[in-house]
Amino acid sequence: MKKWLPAALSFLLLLPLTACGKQNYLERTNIVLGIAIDRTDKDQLLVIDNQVLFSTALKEKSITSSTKAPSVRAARENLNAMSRGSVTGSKLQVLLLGKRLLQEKDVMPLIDVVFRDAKNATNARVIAVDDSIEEIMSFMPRDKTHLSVYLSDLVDNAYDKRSIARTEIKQFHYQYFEEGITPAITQLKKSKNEIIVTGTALLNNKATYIVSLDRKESVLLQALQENVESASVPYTIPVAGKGQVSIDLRSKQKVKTSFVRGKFRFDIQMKISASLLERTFTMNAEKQVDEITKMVQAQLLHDARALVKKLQDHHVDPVGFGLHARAFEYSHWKKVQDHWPDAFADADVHLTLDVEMKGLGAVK
Amino acid sequence: MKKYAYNEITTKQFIFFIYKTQIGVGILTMPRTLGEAAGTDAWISILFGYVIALAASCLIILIMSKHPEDTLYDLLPRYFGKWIGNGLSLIFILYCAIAAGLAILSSVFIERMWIVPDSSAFLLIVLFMIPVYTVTRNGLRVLGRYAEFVYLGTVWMYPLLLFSLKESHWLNLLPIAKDGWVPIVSAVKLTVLPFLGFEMAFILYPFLQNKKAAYKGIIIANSISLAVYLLIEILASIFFSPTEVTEYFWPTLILLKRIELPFIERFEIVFLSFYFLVLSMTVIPYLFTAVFGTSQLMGKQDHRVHLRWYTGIFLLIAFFYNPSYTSLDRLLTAWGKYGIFFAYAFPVCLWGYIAVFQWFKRRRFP
Repeated sequence: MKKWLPAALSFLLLLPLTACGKQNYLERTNIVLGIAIDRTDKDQLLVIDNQVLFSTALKEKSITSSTKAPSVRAARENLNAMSRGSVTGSKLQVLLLGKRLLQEKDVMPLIDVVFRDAKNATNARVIAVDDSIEEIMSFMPRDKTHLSVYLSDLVDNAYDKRSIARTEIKQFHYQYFEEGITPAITQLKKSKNEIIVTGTALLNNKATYIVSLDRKESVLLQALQENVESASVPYTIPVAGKGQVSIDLRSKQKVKTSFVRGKFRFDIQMKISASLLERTFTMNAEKQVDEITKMVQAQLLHDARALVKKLQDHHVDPVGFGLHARAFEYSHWKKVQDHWPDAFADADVHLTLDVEMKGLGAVK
Repeated sequence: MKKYAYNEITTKQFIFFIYKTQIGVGILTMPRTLGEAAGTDAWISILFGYVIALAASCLIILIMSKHPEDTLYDLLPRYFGKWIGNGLSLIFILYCAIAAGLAILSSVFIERMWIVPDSSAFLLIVLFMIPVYTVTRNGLRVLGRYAEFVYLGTVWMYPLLLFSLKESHWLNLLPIAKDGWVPIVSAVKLTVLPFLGFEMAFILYPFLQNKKAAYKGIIIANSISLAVYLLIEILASIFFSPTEVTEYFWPTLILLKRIELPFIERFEIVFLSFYFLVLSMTVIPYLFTAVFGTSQLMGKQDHRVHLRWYTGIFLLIAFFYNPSYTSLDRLLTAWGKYGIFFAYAFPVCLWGYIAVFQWFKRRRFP
């Protein structure tokens, strides 16, 4: 009797704890996999949700509903009012932000709900949409994949080749709050029948859109961020009058930080190991390897310098030079930490680049 | 005659008992509280905190070794007389009882916040109290074994945090002591709460099988805790930006959110569920110290009666009082403050008093 009493008591207590109190049928749950947010004319948000349904009776597994509301959470309430089951956002895969919204508003307070509710997974990819979000959200992938899954695969695949920045919500949070870095997110747009990733959208510290990078610039941006150490990334180099050379590159770098004559100075030494993928003109790759290397080196250096200049011209620092400034020139950093991108725009960036041709492929 | 001979614990149990008491709720919020005070240099504060904790622990062992058969509850009346001594014991008991209660409340609060937001707090507390009760009603030997079990059962958890290294910014740690030493030193007081737990030695010492190993044991216990805290603090410093880390209430759990397996998205749920073993090992020692103390004061050998009383009263309070985040945070801060007194100031005062006491005694009876 004495032994059974605690067991029985525990059992009784366990009963109300099980899911019996509040069921959540998967068939009735609308799982939001993608959210797109943009701004309407009347200072409201246009929120489009892409949900997946598991009901067997349905042919269409994916539904898209749009609503206008002052906040993302309020939009959720609107959606809830339309849906027969509960709407859950904890499986979010992609978060699309319209360009208009990015240009006019600080988005971080808008997506506050993602961080505040501990239930939410924070690994959704943050994506800037070049034109209207409606067009993207009404897109139907040809292979009938769920749109949000399609988009996230698209992003992941492009990131494998480093032709975009891939930023998850929590990284976005990091980039937003870190003074020494400005956010960079994936950018895509809809062409006639396809959605294509166009590169990287650079935002400032208030999460406002500044400028875009194309896919090639994004590769170099990733290289500067030391993200191309383990991946091998294709890069094309035009050769004047002849055609082009494609290489596969990996890059490493050393950054020296100093403060000279009232300016920050960064000496970046990039080491790139490349292997030849393609050449579209006749040449003996074996004999002319030095020539190719030089060509590649000159072009990469030119592109990288142009990229750095572009960043400085637009007062954005997605690379995170601010981290170096803080680590090595703290006393000077302290004075500019609230407006680091401006200080970065002023800084001297000296870039040198060293290419080593590691492989030429299977033919001469 | 050895009063507590039937309940001896080994050195290993002693180490894990103290170490597991130290590791508790504090670890989840530590990167934030320290980050607010000392930024990315907080790991230096932890080192300072460790040295202070070590000094206080050794002082406790020094005091206890004068009368190796006494717990604190026997020691205090011996020096202060029956009334004052028992009064002091009572204050210590109250401190431990409140500490145990707070540890339960905050554990359940975090559980509800992160895992089961729709379940009633009271039910969760009741469920939490059942295993706590069944462990605590046993003697110290069983508790020591439980400490060992918790250690072995959860030792895999800390290396998991290394997953967050994938996105580390080592540059964050530089320069060392960026804003001078003032913030670092001022953050030392915040490391008091994480290292609290070594005051258990006041009770454990007479139960220790090999008393010569007491110093070694308490140093090892503090050192393991130090290693865990340093690991977490440094990981948080290089993972978050210095301003970002103060944005999160529980940065350590956010670190875990990083871990994403193909079949499990919110790894922190798995981690937290196992972490309850660790949290229970913060509750149990304080609870035991409290009920063991009251039983000693009343001259009873069996502490189970008082444990039942405590459990009953605590559940009654928990039924009516459901603290919000802010009041809980305030209570925990207060606990940290009193902790400074009981774990750090109290041993020093006691040691000073004993020294003076003995000096007087020697003068009076040469």
